[in-house]
Amino acid sequence: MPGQGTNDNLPAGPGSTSQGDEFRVLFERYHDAVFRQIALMLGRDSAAAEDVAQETWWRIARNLKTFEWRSGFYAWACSIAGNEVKRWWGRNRRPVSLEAEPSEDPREGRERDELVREALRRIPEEFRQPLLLDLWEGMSIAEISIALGVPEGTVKSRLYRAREKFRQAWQELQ
Amino acid sequence: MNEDFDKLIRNAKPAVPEGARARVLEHVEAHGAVASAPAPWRVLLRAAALVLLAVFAGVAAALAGRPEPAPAGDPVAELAAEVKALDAQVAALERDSAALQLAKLQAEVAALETRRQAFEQAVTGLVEAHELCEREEWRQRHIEHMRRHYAEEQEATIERLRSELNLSAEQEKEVRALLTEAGKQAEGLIGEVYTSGRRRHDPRMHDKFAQLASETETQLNALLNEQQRGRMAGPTGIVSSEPEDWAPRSDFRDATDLDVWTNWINVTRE
Repeated sequence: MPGQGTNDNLPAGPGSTSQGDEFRVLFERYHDAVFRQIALMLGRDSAAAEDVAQETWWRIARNLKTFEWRSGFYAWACSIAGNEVKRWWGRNRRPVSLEAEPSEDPREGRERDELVREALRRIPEEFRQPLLLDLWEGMSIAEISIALGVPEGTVKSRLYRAREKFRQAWQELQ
Repeated sequence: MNEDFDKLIRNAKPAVPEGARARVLEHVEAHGAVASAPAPWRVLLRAAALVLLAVFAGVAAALAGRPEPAPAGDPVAELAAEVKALDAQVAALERDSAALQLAKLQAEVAALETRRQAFEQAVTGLVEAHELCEREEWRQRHIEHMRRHYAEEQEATIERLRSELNLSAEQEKEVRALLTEAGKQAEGLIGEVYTSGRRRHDPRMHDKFAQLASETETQLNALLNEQQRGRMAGPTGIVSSEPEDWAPRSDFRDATDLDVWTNWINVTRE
């Protein structure tokens, strides 16, 4: 079953490990990916992203025993993160800034990166998630299939369509 | 083209602040969602909590098991004691009602059935005794009534036969004896009805009266000569085959007599 990872020390499903161990494995595996999703959804402020990440992982820990592994853990965690981002926006209306990692190309500036993120935000979530897991997290097709709980063929088709949608969004932003 | 876009996207990858992972994990553990690694002081704290819990549990169990009633003046304790007593009563009722109440009811039903049978027998005996007394009284009164009526009827019949058939004195004597004997047989039939009782009488009472009438008619014909039998030309009806004719209703004088007559009719027609 997709989502029940076994090739990267992920829990094999409910009851396979104690809840604390299960949480820690998932946390180590998906913390950065979830954090970047939160940062993308929020905008620019890494401190705010950290606050939201704390609440997101707290809720994940609380509700992990009810997670039935019918979907991939990453998709489930992103849905929780999305809700926490909405709550955060409900409490904070001030503008934020997001610190980018040092770019490999010194010519790429913050403005372009922000345009890229804006284009990414315009892609539907079901296509954006595999694209970010591929390009930001460096996951393989099989790992993305596990993280999202969908077959590998679906991952491939979504990646193709995600790039198409990104190109359309990018052109709209130019 | 795709490679260019992939590069753009990779370059826009947000940074994860240093130490963010540890801070997030610490936040989650601090809020109790996931147990952190048990430190020595936490082990001691848990052990102390367990000891305290055991002490409290022992105290609570001792308090719950105390047989003494709640101290007076404490409405909550008194109410709790009442509730406990009621619970015990309810439990006893629930435990016993199904079996004991049913057994009690069955015993009561059996006793009532026995009493009902005894009562029914007593009533039956009283009714039979009452009917026996009434029957004897009705029999006597009915026979007296029939005798009076039949005696008048018998004299009228003899007078009619004498004038129509020119009976000789000897024939008139024989006819009178014949009708008297028929009257006695009718009385016997009436007595048989009342003596045997309403429930046990012969249902062919009408047939018996018809047979009596027919035999009397035959015997009368035997007493007549050929000429006289020609004048009769058929049944004379000097002895009726209808029981009602032996004691006509119109001859009863009051309600009591009417009851006797009705009883007679009902009995003989059953």
